[in-house]
Amino acid sequence: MKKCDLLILTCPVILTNAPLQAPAILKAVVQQQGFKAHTYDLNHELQKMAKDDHDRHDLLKNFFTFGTLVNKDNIEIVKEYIENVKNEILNTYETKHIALSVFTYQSQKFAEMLARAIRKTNKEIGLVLGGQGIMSSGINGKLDWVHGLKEEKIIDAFIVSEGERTLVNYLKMKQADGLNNHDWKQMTDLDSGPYPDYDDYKLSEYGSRKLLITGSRGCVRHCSFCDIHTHWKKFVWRSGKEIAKEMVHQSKKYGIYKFLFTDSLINGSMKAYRDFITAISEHNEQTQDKISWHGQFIVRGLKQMTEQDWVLTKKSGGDGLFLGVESGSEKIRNDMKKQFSDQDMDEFVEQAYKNNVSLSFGMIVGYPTETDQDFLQTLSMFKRYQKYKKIFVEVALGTTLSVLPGTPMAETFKDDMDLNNGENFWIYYKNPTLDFKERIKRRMILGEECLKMGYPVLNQNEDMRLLHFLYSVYKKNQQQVLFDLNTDNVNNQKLS
Amino acid sequence: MQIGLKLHIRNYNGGPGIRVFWNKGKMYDRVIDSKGLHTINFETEDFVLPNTLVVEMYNKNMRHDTKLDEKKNIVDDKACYISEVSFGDIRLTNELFLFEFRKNSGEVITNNVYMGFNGRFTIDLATDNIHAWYNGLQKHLITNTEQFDYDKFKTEIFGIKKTNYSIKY
Repeated sequence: MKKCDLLILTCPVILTNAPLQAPAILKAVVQQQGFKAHTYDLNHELQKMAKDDHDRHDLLKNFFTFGTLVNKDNIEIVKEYIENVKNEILNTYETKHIALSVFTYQSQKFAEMLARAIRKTNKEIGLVLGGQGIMSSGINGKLDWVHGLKEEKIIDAFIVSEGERTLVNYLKMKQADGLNNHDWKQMTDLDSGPYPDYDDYKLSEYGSRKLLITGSRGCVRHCSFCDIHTHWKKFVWRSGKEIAKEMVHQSKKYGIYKFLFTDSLINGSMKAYRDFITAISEHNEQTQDKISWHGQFIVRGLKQMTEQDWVLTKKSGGDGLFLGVESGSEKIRNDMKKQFSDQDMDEFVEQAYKNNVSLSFGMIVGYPTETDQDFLQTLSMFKRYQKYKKIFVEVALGTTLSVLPGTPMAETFKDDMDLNNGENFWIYYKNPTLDFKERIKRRMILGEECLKMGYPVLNQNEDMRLLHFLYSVYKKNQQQVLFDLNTDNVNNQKLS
Repeated sequence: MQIGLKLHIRNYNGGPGIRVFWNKGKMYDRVIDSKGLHTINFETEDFVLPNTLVVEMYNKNMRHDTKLDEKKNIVDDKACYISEVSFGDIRLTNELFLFEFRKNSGEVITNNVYMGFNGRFTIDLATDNIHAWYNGLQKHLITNTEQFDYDKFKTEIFGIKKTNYSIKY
C-alpha cells in the first residue's frame, strides 16, 4: 500500500495524448507544504483500453462523456468498470484525502460515479472535486452539481479554481477562499510555485512525448466571442527566465524536450517573451537535446515583434504557433476586437516564413457582421499567403460560428439577434441574409478554395458531416441541443 | 411531457394491434384498421426518467396477414412503420434506427423501423436528462452514419444549378 495524505486522480473523459498539468502541479504544491501526495491518471488508463478492447472503451467513453447508452443493459459494464477502478485505488493507496480533477463537464459522470463508489466503501476518506469541469454551462457557470453532491455527503468539498492555494489550505485548515464557492481569488504570482511533479506518471506511455507548461493566465485581449476574461479577470504572467528554467529542469528530469503552452497566448507580455526565447536560445546552442515548444500566439506586427525576436523564436525551438486569425477582413477583426491590422498579419506571416516557423490558423466563418465583401477578403488573404503555404501545418475552419446563450457574444448582440433554436442557427437582424444556410455555403467555399490552394484544412470531412447533420436539424425546425458545449466535430471537443 | 408517435399503417386483414407503454403502464392499445399515417399524442406528467418506451405490434398472423402475388412478392401487409417519436421538443426520426426491434420469437432486428412481425420496438431512455440523452444520440448518429454525401449536401445548399460556383477574389 502506498501511504499518502492526498491522492489526486485525473478523471476521464479528456481527449489528450499528454499528461494533464494540474494534478502534477497540485502534487508538487502540497508536497512542498509537507504533505505526502500521489497522482494517478485515470483518463490515461481508460485511453489505454482503446488498443486492446476498442468496443468496451468506446462504450465507456460515450457513457462517461454524454451519459448515454444505446442499450440500457450495458450499464452493468460501466458499473463493473467503476467498481474495478475503485477497488484498485483503495487497494493500492492508503490515503486520507482523494482529489478528483474534473477538467471539463465531460468528466462529471465518471467523477460522480467513482466518488459514490468510494464513499459507499469508505466513509473516512475526504473527497474533494476540483477544476473548471465542476461547473455547468461554461465559464463561471452553475455549481448545482457539486452542491448537490456535497449536500448528499458524497463529497466533502469542491474547488473551482486556483487549487494550488485552496487545496493546501483545505488540507491544513479545512477552510480557504474559493472552497465550496465561486469566490476564489486569482493568484498574481505564478513564479514562486514548484514545477509540476510527474514522478508517478509513466510518461513513455503517452503518445505525444510532450509536457504542458503555463507561462500566463488570462489574456491581453477581450475578443468579442471569447469568455476567458470572465474567468481570469487579470492577465498575469511568469517571468521569461522562470519559464525557461522550468523547461530546462523538466527536460533534464524527464527526458522530454517538447513543450506545449497552455496559455491563451504565449506572447502576451513581450518583455517576458523576449527573456524566455533568449534564455532557451542560449540553452539550445549549448546542447544536442534541443528544446522545442508550441502553443497559442497573437499576431503582432514588426513594431511589436522585431526581426530579432523572430530569429530567437526559431532558435528557441518555437514551431507550431496557433493563431486565432478568425477573418481576413480587418473590419471584421476590429468588430471582434482582435486588434491587429492586415499589415501586422502580412509582416507576421512573412517573418514566420523567413524563419521557418510553422503556423496554424484558426478561422471563424460567419461572424454576425460578415458581409459578402468581408468573406471575399478572407479568401483573398489565403490567396495572398499561398506562397507561404509550406509553413502552414493546419487551417482550422470550424463549423461556422455558434453563439451560446449567456456568453459575451450573445450579450453583445442580444438586442438584434435571435438564437433561433440552436447555437448554430442564430439570425442577426442587421445582416439577415447571413442565415445558417449562407454560413454553410461560405464554409463550403472557403474549405474548397483553401484545399485547391494547397492548404492543410483540418477536419474538413468531419466538419462537413457535422454541418450536414446540423442542417438536417435546422431544416426540421428542431432544437439544437444547447446543452452541448463541444461540437466542433464529431470526434473532438470544442470549448465554446 | 408530451409524447408523440407518427405511425404509418398497412392494414391488410384488418390492420395491426398497436400497444404503447412505458415503465409504469400502458398508454395506448388498439387495433388500427385504417391505412396510412396515424398521429398519436399523449400528455403525461409522470413520465419519469430514466424510462423505456415500447411500441408493440400484435395481432398479426404470419400465415395469413401478408398478401403475396404469384411470384411471392409482398403486395400488401399488416404492418406498422414508425416514422417519428417525440418527447417534448425532441423529435426522433433518423435516430430511431439506433434502437432494436425484438420479434416475439426473440430474434432482434437492428437498423429497422418497419414492424412486419409481432414484436416490440424499444426506446431506452437510459438517462435522467432527456436533452443530454438526445445529444448523445445525435453524436452517435453522426459518428456512425455512413450515408453522408458531400456533393448531395452541396447541391442542397447551393441549389442544383449553382454548385459549380465562380468566385473572384
